[in-house]
Amino acid sequence: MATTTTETKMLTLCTSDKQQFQIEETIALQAVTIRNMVEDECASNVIPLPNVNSKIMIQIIEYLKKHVDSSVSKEDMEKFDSAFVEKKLSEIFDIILAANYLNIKNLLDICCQRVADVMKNKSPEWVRRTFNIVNDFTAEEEAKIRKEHEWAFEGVDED
Amino acid sequence: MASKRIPTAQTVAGDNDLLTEILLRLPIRPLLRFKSVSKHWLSLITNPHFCRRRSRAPSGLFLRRRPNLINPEYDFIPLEDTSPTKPPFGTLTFSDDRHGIRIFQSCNGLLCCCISVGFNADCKYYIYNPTTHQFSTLPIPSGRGFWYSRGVGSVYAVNLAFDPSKSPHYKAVCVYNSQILPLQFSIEVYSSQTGLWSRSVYSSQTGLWSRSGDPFSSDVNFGLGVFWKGAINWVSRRADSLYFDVDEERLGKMPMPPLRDGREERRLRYFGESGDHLHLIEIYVMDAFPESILGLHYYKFLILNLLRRNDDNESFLVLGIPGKAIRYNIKDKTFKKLCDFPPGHLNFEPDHAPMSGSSGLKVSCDGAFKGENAAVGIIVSDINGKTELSSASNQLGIQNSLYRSGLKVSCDGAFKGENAAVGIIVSDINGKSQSTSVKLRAHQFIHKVLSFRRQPNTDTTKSATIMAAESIPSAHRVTGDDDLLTGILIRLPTKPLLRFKSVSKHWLSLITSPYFYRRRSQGITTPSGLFLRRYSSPKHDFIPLDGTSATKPHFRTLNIVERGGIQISQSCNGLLCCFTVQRTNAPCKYYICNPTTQKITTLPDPSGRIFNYTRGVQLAFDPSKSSCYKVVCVYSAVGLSGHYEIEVYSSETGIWSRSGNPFRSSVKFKQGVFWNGAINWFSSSDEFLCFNVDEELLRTLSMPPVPSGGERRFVKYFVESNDHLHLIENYGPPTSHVIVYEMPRDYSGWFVKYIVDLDAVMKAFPGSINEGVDPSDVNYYMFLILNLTRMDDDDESFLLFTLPGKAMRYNLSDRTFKIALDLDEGQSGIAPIVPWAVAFPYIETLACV
Repeated sequence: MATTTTETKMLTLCTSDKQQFQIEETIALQAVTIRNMVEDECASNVIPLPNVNSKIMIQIIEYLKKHVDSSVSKEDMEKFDSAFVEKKLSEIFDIILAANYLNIKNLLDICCQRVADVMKNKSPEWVRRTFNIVNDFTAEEEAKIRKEHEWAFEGVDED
Repeated sequence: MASKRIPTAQTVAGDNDLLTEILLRLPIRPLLRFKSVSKHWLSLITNPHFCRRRSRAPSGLFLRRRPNLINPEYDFIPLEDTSPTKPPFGTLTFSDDRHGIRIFQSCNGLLCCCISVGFNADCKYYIYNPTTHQFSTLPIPSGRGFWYSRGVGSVYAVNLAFDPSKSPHYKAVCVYNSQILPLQFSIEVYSSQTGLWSRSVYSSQTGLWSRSGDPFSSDVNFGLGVFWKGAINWVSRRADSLYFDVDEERLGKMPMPPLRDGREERRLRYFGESGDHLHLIEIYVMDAFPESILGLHYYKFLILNLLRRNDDNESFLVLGIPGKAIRYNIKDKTFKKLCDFPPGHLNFEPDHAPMSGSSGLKVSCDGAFKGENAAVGIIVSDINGKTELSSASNQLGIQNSLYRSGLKVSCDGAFKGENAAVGIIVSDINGKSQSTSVKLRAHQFIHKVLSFRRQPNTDTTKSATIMAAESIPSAHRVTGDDDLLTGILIRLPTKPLLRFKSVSKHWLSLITSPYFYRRRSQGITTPSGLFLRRYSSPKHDFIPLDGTSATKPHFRTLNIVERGGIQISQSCNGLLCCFTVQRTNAPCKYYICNPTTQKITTLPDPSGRIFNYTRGVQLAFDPSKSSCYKVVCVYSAVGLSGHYEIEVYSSETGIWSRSGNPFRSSVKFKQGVFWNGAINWFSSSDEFLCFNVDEELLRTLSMPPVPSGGERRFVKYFVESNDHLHLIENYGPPTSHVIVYEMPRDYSGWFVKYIVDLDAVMKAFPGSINEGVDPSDVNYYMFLILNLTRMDDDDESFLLFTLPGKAMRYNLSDRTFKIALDLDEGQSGIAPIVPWAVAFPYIETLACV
C-alpha cells in the first residue's frame, strides 16, 4: 500500500441542550476557545459548550463552514456575512454571546456591527426599551444632555 | 470579664522586638483586628519589615470552577485544619468592575488578576491581597495604548514577582508580542516602588541581553509563569523553558527533563512553586502501549497543587477527583479528604496552576480505544535535583490509593482486552528516572464503568444550572457586558452616539470615557467633510465627502463666541484652531474648537505677549496617542531681528512654556501642518522646518529642488491627510499639470506621489481657462487647489480644487471627476470666480477641548 490517506479529523461539540454536532476539526478550530481546549488536551472527544444552544450552534457552524473555505472570494464572503446577519436582533444577541464565549472574532465583529447598524437611527427611548435599561437621569439632567447635542436628534426613526 | 493588667506585659509590649515576635505568631485575623489597638501597633503591623518576616505557607487554595469562563467563581480548600480562615470570596468583586475577575497567578500571598474574558477589550490587571482585601490596578505599560488588543502588540501575559522576604514591593512582568516582528516578544517590567513600567537598557559593557524591550522569540506559554528564585519561569511543551530574572532583567534558558522517547511534545500537567522549590509534573501514556494513546483521559483526576513543607515528610499533593479534593502525602502515601464539592463544580481547576486550563486527566469514552492496555505515567520533577520525591513503587501507591479513594474510571465498551496497565515514571532534572507498570485485570474497570455511567454526566448538571440562570433577555446580557456594549458602540457614527448619551448614566459614562474615545478615534482618520473658507468674508461652506453621511455641520459662520465671526486657521485630527477676525487693532484671540460636539475653548495668551505679535499658531493633536493637545506659537524674538522664538501650550497643564533659544528661519510660520508628531513649515526658499512637539526639537530639512527651467518656487498646497504629508508646487509658467510630493515619516526626502493633468477637467468646463490672457499669464488657468484627501483605500483618494463657481472632486486613482459643490449664479456675497480660499477637513471626534 503505497498510498497515504489523510483522515479528516472530526470533533463532537455538545451544546447546552445536549445536542451533539459532529464537525471537521479544521472548521471547529476557528473558534479560539475550542482550539485552546483541543491544544491543551483538556477536551475529550466530546467538547461541551454549555453556553451555546443547538439553535445558535447550527448558525455558528454555518458561518464557520463558509469561513473555512479558502476558495470563497472576498466579495462573496462579504456577501455571505451581510446576509448572515440579516436576522432578528434577539438572534444576533444570542450569536454575540456565543461568539464571545467561543472567541470567534470576525463573527463577533460582524454581529456587533449589525447591532450598531440597527441602533444607528434609533432614539434613546428605543434603546432603553430594547436593552431593558432604566433611565436613571433626572428630568433636568436628561434635558441638559439632550440640549448639548440637539442636532444629533434630527432625523431619528419613528419608534 | 475584665482582664487584669499584668505589669510585665507592659514591659514586653514596650519592647518592639518582643512585641513583634508575639505578633508574628498571630494568625491573620487577630492581627488585622489589632491594627486598631494603637497607632504604634498599627505602624508595627503594617510596616514592610513585619510583612517581610511574616511570610507564610499557603493556608488554602482557590479553585476556579471550570465551566464558567465569563464570570469565574471560586471554591476554597483550606489546607490547615487549624486555620478556619474563610475564603474571602466566591467571586472576585473587589473592584467596581462588572466583569468577573480571573486569578491567574498566586505569588507569596498576592494574587495577580485580570478581567476574565474580554472582547476587543482592554483588560485591566489587578494585584490583590485577599487577606486584607486591598488591591491596586496596574497602569498600562508604556508604549502600549491598551492592555489587550488582538493583532499587533497583544499583551500575552502579566506575571507577578513578589518575594516578601526580600522586599515589600512587587514587580510585574508584562510580555507582549512585538509590534514589528511577528512571533517576537518584548518585556516590560513594572515596579510597585516607582509605580512605573520600564524597558531597561541594553548594557554593552556587560554584553548582557538586558533590554527588556528587545524582541525575542520563544514558544513557551507565557500565560503560565511561575515566580521562583527571583525570576519568572515559563515552560514550553516542545523546547527549552525560559526564565526572566526580574531584578537583573535578564533572560535565560532552563533545561527541561528529557522528553520520553519518540515524543515531540511533553504533556504538562502541573508547573508550580512551593516552599522555594520549582516543580513540574508530566503525565502521558507510555510508549509501551502505542495503541492506547486515546486512553489519555482514562483517569479522572486533576493535580491541583504540590505543596512542600519545611519538613519534607509533610509535603503533599492536592488532587481533585469528582466531588472531592484529596490531600495525598507524598512521603508516607497516606491520603485524606480535604473537602467535598457540590456536584456542579466537578471540572474545576486550580488557580495556583493556571496551566490547569488544561490540567488533569479527563474521562474519555472513546470507541476507538482498542488496545489491550492503557497506561498512565506520572513524573514529578524537582528542578533542584535534590529530592527524588518517591520511588516508582511509591508512586504506584498514588494510583492505587486514588483508585480506591473514589477515582472514577471509565473506558468504553470497545475496551476489549483483558488487562489494563498503569505505568509510572519518576524522574528528576538530572535525568534519572525509574519506571514501572502494572497490569490490572480488566474486569475491575468494567464494573466501575457501569456504575459511572449510571450517574448523571457532571457537565450536564452544571450547564443546566447555567441555562436556568440565563432567563434574562440576551440583549440585556450583551449590553450588561461593557466589553460587548463598547464593541457595539464604537461602531456607531458620531450622531447616534451623541444621542445615546441620554440613554442612561452608565451609557453616558461609557461614551464619554477617555478610553472609549481613544479606541474609537483609532478607526476614524478620514474626514467626513470639508469646511471651505470664502475669500470675501469669514464664512464657511461645507462639503460632505461621505455621500451617506448626514452629519451636517451646524454652522455656516463660526459665531459661537462673542460678536463677529471667527476664522479657521487649521484643522488637526478633528479639532479646529480658530482666531477672531479683528476689525480694529484689538489683540487676536485664539480658540480650539470641536465642531462635532460644539465645544470651544479660548487659549490664554502666551506668557509675556499677546497673539498680535505672533507669526503663527499651530495645533498639535493626535488622538491615537493622547487625548490632550498642544499648541505651538511662534513669534519674533525681541531685539533680535530675523529671529524667532517658540512657546508651547499644553492642554494638560493649561500653561504656556518657552522652548529653546531664538533661531533664524525663512519659513512661513502662518501655515504650519501637524504631521508625524511635529509641526512642519515650508518656505519659498529651499528650507523646510519641523518642530517635534514632544521633544521640543527643531530640525531644518530641504524642500524639493526647483527643476531646471523653473523660475522660482510657488507653494500651492501643503497639508497632511490621513498621516501623509503632501506638497504641491509650481515653478513659474502656469500649467495644468499638478505634481504632488510626499514626505516619508523618516524625513528621508520628498518623492513624487502623483502627477495629475487637469487639462481634461478644464476642457470640460470651458469657463475655467481664461482665453483673454496670454497662456503664460498666472491667471490663464483658473483653478485653485483646496485639498488633497487620502483615504484608507488609496483608490478613493482625491484632489479638491475650485473652478469658477464650483468645487471639483478629482479621483487620483481613476482620474474621474465630478462637481462637489456648485454655486448658483449670482448668489449674494460670493465672488463667483474663485469663491473659496482654503479648505479644512472635518473629522468627527469626541475629543474634549
